[in-house]
Amino acid sequence: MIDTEIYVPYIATMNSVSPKCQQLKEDYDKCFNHWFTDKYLKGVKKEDCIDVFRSYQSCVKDAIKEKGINISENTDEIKLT
Amino acid sequence: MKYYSALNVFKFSWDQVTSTYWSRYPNPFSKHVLSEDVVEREVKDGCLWSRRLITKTNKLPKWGARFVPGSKSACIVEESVVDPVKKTLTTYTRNINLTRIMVVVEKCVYRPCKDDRHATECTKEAWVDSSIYGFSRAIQAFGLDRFRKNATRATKGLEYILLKTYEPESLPEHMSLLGNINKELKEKAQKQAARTLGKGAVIAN
Repeated sequence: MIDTEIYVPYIATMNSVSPKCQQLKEDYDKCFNHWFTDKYLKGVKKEDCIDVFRSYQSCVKDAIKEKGINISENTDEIKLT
Repeated sequence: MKYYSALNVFKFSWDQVTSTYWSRYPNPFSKHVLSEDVVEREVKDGCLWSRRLITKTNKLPKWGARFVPGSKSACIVEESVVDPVKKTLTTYTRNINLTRIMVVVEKCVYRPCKDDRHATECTKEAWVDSSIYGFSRAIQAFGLDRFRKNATRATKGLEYILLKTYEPESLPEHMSLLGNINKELKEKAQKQAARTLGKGAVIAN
């Protein structure tokens, strides 16, 4: 018998700007991708994933504030640690 | 100011391209991309508006490093609008730090090809600007050159994820994996044959 799998499904996980938000990001991305392809593109406008997005969003906003990243304005000096 | 424009065609439908767009990182061509997050997102008048923060490595040539004390990542904001009725995905991308050195603004529009509904075209435009006295030309040229390389990587990356999602059997690693399996099978068969032959030989003796 051959042990090697013929096709390894692609499991893509991108990093969040902060490790603290990683799990929330993964949960949200999964929910969003499903909504976007299976609902939004098929004409459903009502948003899903609202609760997980809210938690993820607040985590990311705290993280970027901590890192001194200002998204709304063009800032020259950004400390990325 | 330097200007860049390019047209790319993906052999996938607009629905497939836009679905894949959000999960195009990581891919083998995106090693310079460190993180990606959705900061804001909402459906307004039927269109999906998103704002994402992407951080990337920011390798500079030696002569350019003097303008950036310490090593810093580049922060990129990508704003996008999906219009599912008109079938357009428009993205605007710009760096929000290191702007004193260089500003790169990119606009991409993804729409179905006019003559082929199963293909998607992407028109990409970019503007590279620098106002560092005495170095602006060199920085702009460097910025444009790097943008070109990254734009090629971005296209290859998206293509890779499209293939991985919809046609995994066409990817080279799949082929090479199959190749390895074939090689393994062949070797096993050869060993088996050698053993059988050996036994046969013993019996014959």
